[in-house]
Amino acid sequence: MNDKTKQFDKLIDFIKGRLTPEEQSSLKEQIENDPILQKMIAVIKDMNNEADQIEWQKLKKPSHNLIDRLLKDIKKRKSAGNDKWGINIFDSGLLPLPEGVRPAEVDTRRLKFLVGDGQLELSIYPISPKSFELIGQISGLKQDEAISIELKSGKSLIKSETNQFNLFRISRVPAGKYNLNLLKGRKIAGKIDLEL
Amino acid sequence: MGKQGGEYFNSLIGQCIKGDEQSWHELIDLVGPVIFSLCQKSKLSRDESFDIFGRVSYQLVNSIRSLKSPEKILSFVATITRRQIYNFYQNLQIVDYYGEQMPDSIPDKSGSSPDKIYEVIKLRQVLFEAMSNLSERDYKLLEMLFLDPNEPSYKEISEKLKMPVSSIGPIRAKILAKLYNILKKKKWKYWVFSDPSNKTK
Repeated sequence: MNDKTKQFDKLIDFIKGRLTPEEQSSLKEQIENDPILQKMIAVIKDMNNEADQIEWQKLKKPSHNLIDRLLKDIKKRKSAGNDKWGINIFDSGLLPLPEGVRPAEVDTRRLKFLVGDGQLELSIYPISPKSFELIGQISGLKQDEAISIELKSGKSLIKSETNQFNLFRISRVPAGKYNLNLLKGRKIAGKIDLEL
Repeated sequence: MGKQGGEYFNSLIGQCIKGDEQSWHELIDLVGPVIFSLCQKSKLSRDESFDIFGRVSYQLVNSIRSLKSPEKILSFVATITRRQIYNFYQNLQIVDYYGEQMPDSIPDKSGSSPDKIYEVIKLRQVLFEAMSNLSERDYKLLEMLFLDPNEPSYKEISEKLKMPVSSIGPIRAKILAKLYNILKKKKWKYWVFSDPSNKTK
């Protein structure tokens, strides 16, 4: 290893603060005389610190899970050939609990979907271990007529209407997999897959 | 055999266009910290930041075909993130009186001015552009050594990158030297000398 390469070999330990004070100050002097090296180290160090600060390690898995869902939803939307298929862009259930908070059966889950030009937001409250209250709001969809909700799972069908604020509430939904349809009259204005 | 130079990024983006989940995870590892960092600097909570992340990712998936280089992707992500954060505050209707009524209780963790944040993002774009000229093995080694918050051991790196533990040390120094030389040849010079605090020799 030549001298120049040796100098670069020490950079990682310099950035991570693992050098002895003497080595640290000697390398610091060399770096200060080289503006390109100075910026290169500053940016790498900054990125390194930032990954710690935003706790990327904790956000990495939820981010991967969300992108997987997003890709699946986009695929479904493409095969459906229209933009009525909702794209899941947020699910609080994917995020880890903040430090010191214990998981509880009563945790509320919030979800957001992009549907056409609008958005569907859902809050899911557990009311028993196997049933939930579902409250939702639709925004941004063209409001030429009232929107009704249809929640289907196999042969079971739950219906609800939105109020003047485009809010709806279904007081008890058993756990399971559902298709949620937003209907304008008899026409489907949006649809999503929902697992409770 | 590992891919050379910009081939790795071209292939990664190509795989993302095809919808390959693993490639998307790799791309998200690159842009995710940028999104969350901008959100944190804008004083958003973790839930709010995750919401912005979802919206930016959606736009990234829809626009990936037109963004064929890593620096374009980073620039796109930074712009869309800032726009989404602005929309978020606008929807809360606090943008108009942000200056006078921002609650004191919201901690300001960044302490960075907008021009500083802008410069950091620009410098990162140049760094990633330079990193994209490294081979796949070199890029991944550098990423694991510098940017992985788990600080993987040489043994873990050796297993993941399928290289002997004894070669990691010598290779890492060569890669940094390579990166330095790329930055020296490329636009980095512009960013170095654009900073008035730096004296040209």
